Amino acid sequence: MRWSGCLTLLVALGCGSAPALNTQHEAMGALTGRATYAFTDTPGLQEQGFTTGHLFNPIMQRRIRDALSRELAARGYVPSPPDSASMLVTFSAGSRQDVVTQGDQKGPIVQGTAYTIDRGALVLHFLDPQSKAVIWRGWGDGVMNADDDLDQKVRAAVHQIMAPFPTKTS
Amino acid sequence: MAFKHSRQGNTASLAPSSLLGSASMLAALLLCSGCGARPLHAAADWERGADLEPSKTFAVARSPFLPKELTGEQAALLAIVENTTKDELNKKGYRETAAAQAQLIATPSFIKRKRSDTVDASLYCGSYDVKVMQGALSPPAPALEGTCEETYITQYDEGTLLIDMYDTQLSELVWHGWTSAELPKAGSSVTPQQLVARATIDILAKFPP
Repeated sequence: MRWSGCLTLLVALGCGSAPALNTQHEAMGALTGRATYAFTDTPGLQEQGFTTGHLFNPIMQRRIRDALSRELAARGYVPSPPDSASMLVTFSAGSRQDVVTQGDQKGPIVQGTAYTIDRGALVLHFLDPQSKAVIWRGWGDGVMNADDDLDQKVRAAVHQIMAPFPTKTS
Repeated sequence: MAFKHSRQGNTASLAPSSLLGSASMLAALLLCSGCGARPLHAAADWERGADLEPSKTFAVARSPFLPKELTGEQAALLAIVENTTKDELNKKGYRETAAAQAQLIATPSFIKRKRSDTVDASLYCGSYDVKVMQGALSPPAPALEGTCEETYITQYDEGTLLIDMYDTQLSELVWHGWTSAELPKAGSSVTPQQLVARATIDILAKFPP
């Protein structure tokens, strides 16, 4: 399944039902034999209308990095310098506003009730250091509210997205 | 002093040229509490565990996200934000000092973006039976036909005031506060100066966490 298609599905599933977090993952390469990781650049998110904004600031980036490090440590992976890591980890996040209508109507006037919601998305990529090919990716999106505790919410999102990530195997 | 902070993506709205793009936008920002449509709602994010005790010294500095050249009106409004920030931090027990010696550096900035809103058409046809309820879609009432069942989707410009707080020892962003509102329309009873001051106070009410 294409990445954009996955995200579309993910977003579509989320619209209207407003679950806490929708997550998906996709294994695209072998993780066997990989034991070390390093973080690499954090690109902006430009998928399916999500755009990276002021919330993806250094505070947020350190938080995601810390939460990911904890998840990886729990699975036996250890950090290492980028030139010797067996996996490179990158992540991006963004938000968008959705107008929710009955039957997914579009336009300036719709039948029935409608409301707006803000959605946030977090995308994790694990890359092969040599080829830069994606070997595993996971993503999640959920409704964002003004009073959200971002620390709690984002750490929970990382935990949930990483749930299917395999434990280190030799 | 160089801080490790960059804003990514959404470059159209975050580019320096769009920051403080016009005095009206800043005012807007300011926004909106006065417009009446959407109240200001300040929020903050911060580095958990960061030492933000009020005994610290602070300075207010120009954000790298602001354009280098401001119009006179923009500069005047920014000065209100900066002075209000100083006043609020002093009230909380922080001590203002020169930037070179300050433990915390506060930097205000602004962004602008397009937003959508919904307006219940029933408000205009004499019926209040159909309500726009966030999080729940209910079927339209059978008795309401035509425009009474419609919802208008409108667009508006939203301005956001951001206040970043950097720890100079760590050279890191440690606190990030913001509030957003619809940019003001002509005829607002609240002046841009009042709105900017209000937004600054509301944001700093969240500091320290």
